[in-house]
Order: sequence, then C-alpha cells, then structure tokens
Amino acid sequence: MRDRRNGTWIVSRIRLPSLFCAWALAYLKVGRIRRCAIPSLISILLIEAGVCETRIRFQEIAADSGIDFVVDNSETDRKFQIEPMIAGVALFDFNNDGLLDIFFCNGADIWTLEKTEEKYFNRLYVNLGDLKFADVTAEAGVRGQGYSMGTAAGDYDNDGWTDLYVTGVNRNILYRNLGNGRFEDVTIRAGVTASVEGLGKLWSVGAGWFDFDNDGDLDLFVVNYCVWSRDKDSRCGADKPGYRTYCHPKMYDPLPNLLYRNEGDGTFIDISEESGIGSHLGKGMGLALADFDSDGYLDAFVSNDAWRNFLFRNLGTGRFEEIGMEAGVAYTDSARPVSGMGADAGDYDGDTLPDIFMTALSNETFPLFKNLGDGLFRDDRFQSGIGVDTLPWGGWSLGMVDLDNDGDLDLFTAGGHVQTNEELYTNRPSQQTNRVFENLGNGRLEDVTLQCEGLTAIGLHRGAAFGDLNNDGLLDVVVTRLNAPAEVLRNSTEAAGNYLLLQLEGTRSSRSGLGSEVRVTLDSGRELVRLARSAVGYGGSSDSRVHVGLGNSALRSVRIVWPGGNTQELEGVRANTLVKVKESYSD
Amino acid sequence: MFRNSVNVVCALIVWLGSTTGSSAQSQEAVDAFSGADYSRAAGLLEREMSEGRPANRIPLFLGVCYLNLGRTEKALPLLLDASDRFPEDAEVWFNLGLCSFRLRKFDEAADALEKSLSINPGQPQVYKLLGRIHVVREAYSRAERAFIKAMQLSPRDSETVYLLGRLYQSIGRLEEAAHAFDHVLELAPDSVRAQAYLGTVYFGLGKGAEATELLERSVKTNATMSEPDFVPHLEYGIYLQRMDRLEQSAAQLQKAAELSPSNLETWVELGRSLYRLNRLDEASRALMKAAELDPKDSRPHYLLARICYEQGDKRCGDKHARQAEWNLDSQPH
Repeated sequence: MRDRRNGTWIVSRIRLPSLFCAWALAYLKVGRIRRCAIPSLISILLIEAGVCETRIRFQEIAADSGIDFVVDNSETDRKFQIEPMIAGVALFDFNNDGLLDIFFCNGADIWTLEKTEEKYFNRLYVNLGDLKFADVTAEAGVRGQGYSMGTAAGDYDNDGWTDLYVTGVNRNILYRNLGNGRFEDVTIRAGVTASVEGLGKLWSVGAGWFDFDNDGDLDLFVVNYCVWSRDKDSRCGADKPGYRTYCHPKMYDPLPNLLYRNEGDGTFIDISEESGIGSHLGKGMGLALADFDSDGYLDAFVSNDAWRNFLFRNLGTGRFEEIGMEAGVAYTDSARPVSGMGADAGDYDGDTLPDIFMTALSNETFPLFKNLGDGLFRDDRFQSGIGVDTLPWGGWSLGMVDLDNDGDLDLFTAGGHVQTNEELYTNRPSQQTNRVFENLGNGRLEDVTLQCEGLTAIGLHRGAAFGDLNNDGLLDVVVTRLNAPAEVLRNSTEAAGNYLLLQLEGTRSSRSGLGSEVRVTLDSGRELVRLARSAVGYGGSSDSRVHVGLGNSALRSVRIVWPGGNTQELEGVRANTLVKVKESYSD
Repeated sequence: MFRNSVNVVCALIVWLGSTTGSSAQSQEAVDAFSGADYSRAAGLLEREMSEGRPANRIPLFLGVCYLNLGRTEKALPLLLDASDRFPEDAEVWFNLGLCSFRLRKFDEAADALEKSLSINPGQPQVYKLLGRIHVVREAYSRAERAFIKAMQLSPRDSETVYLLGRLYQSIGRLEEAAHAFDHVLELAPDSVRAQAYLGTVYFGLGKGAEATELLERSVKTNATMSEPDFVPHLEYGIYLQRMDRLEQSAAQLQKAAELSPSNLETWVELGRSLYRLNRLDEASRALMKAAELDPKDSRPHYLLARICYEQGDKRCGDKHARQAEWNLDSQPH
C-alpha cells in the first residue's frame, strides 16, 4: 500500500500475500501488459494459488458509517409499474467542506403518491469525515414530495453551492442550495416541473446537468419513462398469489424527454420542441452526456427500455439531431431493442474517444458501443467479453470508473432483476449481487465479482453513484436496493495505482466545469481522457470531480478542455493529489 | 416432424378396405396408401369421388393424402367435412388439427386437438402437437403441460423431450432445458441437435468447458451422419462468434449455409461474423442473402446499414436503416 500523503511505502499494515501480489502485479504491469492479458508463469501461479486475481476490493460500511437508509417503494402484490424503478442516489458536496455528502431518493405511499410517513422521506446525509455520516434531511429541508425516482446534482446558478434536482412520478423538485445548510424548493419559479401541456406531469426517472449551448450555465436534461396511472395499470403474470409480475414496457405508451435551457436568471425555458429533443418518444432510463463527435458541443445518449436508444447530436445551433440509428447505438447488432437501463460514457479502450456502456436485463447482455470516430460506433459486447459475462445478469445503474487506479476504466453495475419473483418463471434470481468487470487493458473486460471482496450481498439493487468519499484517491460506490438497506462500498483496493483528483471551477464555463475533458499524458506517452460528469448510470448523480487513475506512471502533462474549447495546461501537478483548478483563459 | 402416425393410416386403410366393397380401384387405393404412395392413392380416391361414390370416409382419407402431400389447403375442406360426419372420431379431429396447424390457424388447430383429446385422452402425438401450438401462441405453461403429458404417455419418445427442452431454452429456464436435452441424449445418444442445443444452454449457464465439449461433439457426430444437419454448425458458429473466435465462427457458419442454404439464421449469423471480421463485402453478400430469404427481418438490414455507414455510403446506410426500422415497427409486439 502506498501512503499517498508522502509517497513512502508502508509495509507493516500489509498482509504478505497482498504484498507478494502487489509486487507481482507491478512487475507484470510493465507498459500495458496485464497479468490477465498475457498469461505468465507468475500470474498463473498466483491465480492457481488463489492468492489474487484482481486487486479490486470493497468493504461494505453502511451500518458503521451511520447510513441507515432503506428505499421503501410501498410494494404491493398488485405490482404497479412504478414500484421497481426507484434508484436515485447523489454524491455531492453540499456544504463545500471538501467531503462528498449523500442524498437518496425514496418512494411514497402507493395509493396517494405522497410521502405520508417518515419511511418515505428522501434523505440527505452529511459527511462528517472518517467515513461517518449524519442524517440532516430535516435541517436541509429536502425530505421531498411525491414518489421520487432519481436525482441530479449541479450548480445551476453558479453561486458555488451545488443544487439538487429530484425526479419522480408525480413531482419533480429543484432545490436551490442556499449555502447555509438549507435548500429551497424553487421548482415552479424556475419552471422545471416536467409538466407538459396536454400530457400533464411526466413520469421522470432521471436527469442530467450540462451546458449544451456553452453559454456558461448548466442546462437540464430530464429523462422520462412512460405514461402511467395507477388506475389504468395493467395486470400481468399469472393470476394467483405471488405470481403477479411487473408488466413489460410494451404495455405502456412512450414519452418525450425534456430539455430546459438555463436563462441565467434562476429560470429555465422548456425548449424540448424547438431543440428537437421532444419530438422523439421513448421509454428513457439512462443518460450519458459527452461530446461523442468531438465537435465541441455536448451530446446526449439516452438508453430506452425495450425501445431503440437515442443519440441526440448537438448541432451547436440550439438544435439536436437524433442519430442513434446512423451512429450504431440505437440497437446492438442483434437489431432488437434491449431493456435499456443505465448508461455511461467513457473511454474504455484507451483511444481517447468516449464509448458508451449500458445495462440491460438477463438474457440480453449489457451493450458496449465502441466509438469509432466520425460519429460511428460498433457493438463491442462480444469482442470485449462483456457480452458473455453479462448474459445471466440484470443491471440497473452503472459506472465506467477506474476502480484500481490502473489507468483504464472498469465497469461497475448495480445488480438485480426487475421482477421480485423471477424464480417462479425462469432460473434467474431476482435478487442479485452487484458486479465488477475489470478492464484488462487490452480491450477485454473480465467479470471479477467473485474475486472482489465486499460484493456478496444480494438484493434488488437499483441506484449506484461513484465518488471518493474519503479523498483517498480510490472511487467508492453507494448503492441502493429496494426495501433493503443501502450499501456504502468503501474501495479498499490494495496496491492500487497512482491517481489524480481534479476539482474544476469554471469561470467562463459553468462553475462546476461539468462537460470538461481532462487530458492526462503519462510519462510513458500514453494519453488518458476523462470526463467531468455527474449524470452517471440510472437515476444517479456521481462525484463531479474528475478522477484519473495513473497506474504506476508519473505525469507528463495535464490539460483541461473546458466546454466550448478553452484549453488550459496545468503546471507542476503531481500524482496522488487533489488539485483544485480554476478556469483561466487568454483572449 | 409431425407425420400422421402409421397406426392411424393403417386403421383407415383397414376401414377403407372393409367398406368400399371389393372394387379393384379400392384395393389399389389401399395398396397405395399402405405403401405411403399418397400421390397415387389420392388420384384413385379422387376418381372414386368423381364417380359419385364419395360416401363414408373417402373424403377423410383423401384429406389425409393431401396432408401428406403438403397440399394442405385442399385437405382442409375434406377434413372439416369429415369432422361433421364423424364428430366422435378422435383421429379425424387430430388430422383436422394438424391441417389447421400447418395452415397457421392455431386457434382452430388447438380447438380440434382439444376435441380429439376429449374423445381419447391417451394420444401422445396429439399432446405433442398441442404443445407446439401453445409454443407458437406463447402460452408456455400450457405448452409445458402438454409436452409433459405426451412424455407420460410415451416416455421413450425423444422428440417430445427435445421439444420440451427447446421450450425451456426459449423461455430462459436453462437448468430445465439442460435436463431435458440430457434426457434426449439418454434416449437418442446421437441426436446432434440435442448435443448442440445442450452446448448452447450450458454456455448460457456459464459452463464454458461443457459447452465447448458438447458443441464440438455435435459437429463431430454430425460429420459421421449420412445426412449431416446444419444445426450443429449454426450453434457452434454462434458460440464461437460470442467467444470472439470469429474466423472459426465464419467457417462453421459457412458450413451451415452449405447444408441449409435457405436457413435465415445461418446467413444472418454468418454476415455478423464476417462484419466483425471486417470482411465487409462478404458480410454484405451473406446479409443480402438473408434479406432475400426474409425481407421482413430487421437484422440483415440493420447490419447492412452498419456496413454501408462504415464504408461511408450514407445513402445505402439510410436505405437499410429505414428498412430495418420499418421491419421492427411491423413486428407484432
């Protein structure tokens, strides 16, 4: 284990096998050669001896940390469609103390769709340090209203305090962070209710903040699922006790997504129609925001449930063109829609272009779309190995994150089937573990879940958000599961690589710097590109700071490409540090 | 797969011989029928009918001849007529059910088979056909019950167990599918389809080594057959494709295409493997063949669109993309 504060080795705390493993891995990781990519005598011996197959480790610390949150979806035997969909969890620093706090979304009484009891309140936990948290929901005034679903954190008014948007079935809420530990519901004043003339309040599952027009403030993309009303919900599955199931999405009509443009005065204008976003009906779930075609404008990928996915190409004129079919992300090359769940964007194969990863349900495989450049993608499921490894599993939220700081993006998925009684119909379990697919650095990913400590808990996992809760340079994960305690997975990976954590502060760009690209060149000459993003997975909001695993390398250069193209070279940045970067520019 | 049972035909022949008198023509018809020369039997029976002797069961027998000759449309009115005349005859209803099944009139087929079973519940072949109809109607629980009943009545019939395995496989009950295919292989060790599908099921269950062994075995066994089956090559080819062993996959799928040039899946999968190998021209040819075989399938057009776009031919890409979308939208949900 490397002490990241002073760079010295601390041997005394390390178990011998781990030390041996760490040494062996370091030895094998010369250049980009990985132990799993090229079998070597040492790696074979290590694996055969059961010493280690992956370094990625987690410790589940929710109870010890003071997190006692349980999603309560007001589950019924009737199986209403909204019940299995709650996922919201956000990791963001609401009080600017340098530590990530945690916000959770919760359900409501199914018959009134109101938070009639405390068990349905959304929850905000303040990070006290040392991975201890305290519930400050009441003081902050964020218990919420309605049947909540997802959340997106972002500083929409550029006042330096991160605000919070909460999506739901019957209420969407924009909370303005007042900077004094309290939030104010400004939804109506801001004009982001997600109500549309003729359709009423749309069922929103997720949202994401991004500055689509590069005007220096964050706009809001709201992902909507389908038309639902309790009184008209269909009944599915066998008509006997315990056999009812949630209906297939085909039983419900699709909805448009929404795009709100930030007017810079605390209000937003719904430009869904004029932007082109609103003219495409779907059953939206996940949202990934990135500049997929490298034209300087952020695009939006929406994974849809049993419906073609959308890739909204930002034309830079205030309009978006839906190009999913042409780009090759509407479907996998099976040419059939999957039960699209969460989505994320990141460069999984090291070619500096953002690829797209999404989750789906059992027997479908999780799609992985490799960005070929020129606006084209290729279904890379089977080439990467993810297709075979994910066939049995259901996934909800996810993240493309470097869990062992080796310089490539691993995949974490929140596991669970949509049904609570899947066993009655197939051999697939309803309650599943979360899963980790380690990036082997050669274009292949490997399911290392069984080797990762701390991932044995099963459940109907839904939400997952990623961030460094204790600022130790390793990305932790907070996962929700329906009607069971949330999991706080402290990343305890041993012998992890070096890292860099960047906290961006835009000046001409939006204050949070969301949408920026961080381009890191290692002393080996290898270039890593990572995105400043918070819309990650399904219904969640992750640490907007940019985490870069560096492997064993040192840094040669660090460059920030702010939204709009302003480029900033950083001087004197050292590995294993948290660096605050304020945008500078020269006209 | 579902021919009329020999017993049924024999019974009909006996009955025909005993009721149509001793004409040489009748005897000839019986001989032709018993020799499975349905074409000749049909000709003789047609003559009997045209000579004004359509009494008794001749329309039924002619209907059965037509069924065996694949002239299903002509068989239907005759069998309907027979069901009016002999409503208590279970065999008549079975043949009507079979005829309706072949005409894709699944509701009528199911009704006829249920009627047959209400008269004689001891007919495994009727349960088997009923199970197939329920599969098509996506009534999987009923299909399962029908196949199990058929198995109880005819426990050595490997085809019924095979159908049950395919049912389980298609609905994701892979453990049960594996069990069923295992049982098929006990009854019929050289069933290359059972070997191949068991391999595919093991693959789905994450049992890679077993999958490889079975799929390789199915291909080897197939090579010893006088009439090799395309299915082992197709299943092995798909497996290899999923394992990213694309050259080997393409070779297996090419072999499957040679053995069954009109099988849609084979051409789609061959096109997909070739596409992933970046052998785009060959992939296009395979996919065009698939599109010819079933113009309503979205997959060939989607993959062709991908190839066109990657080759920079936007017009071609748009054309196939539109067709793929059209086909997808046209599919029943």
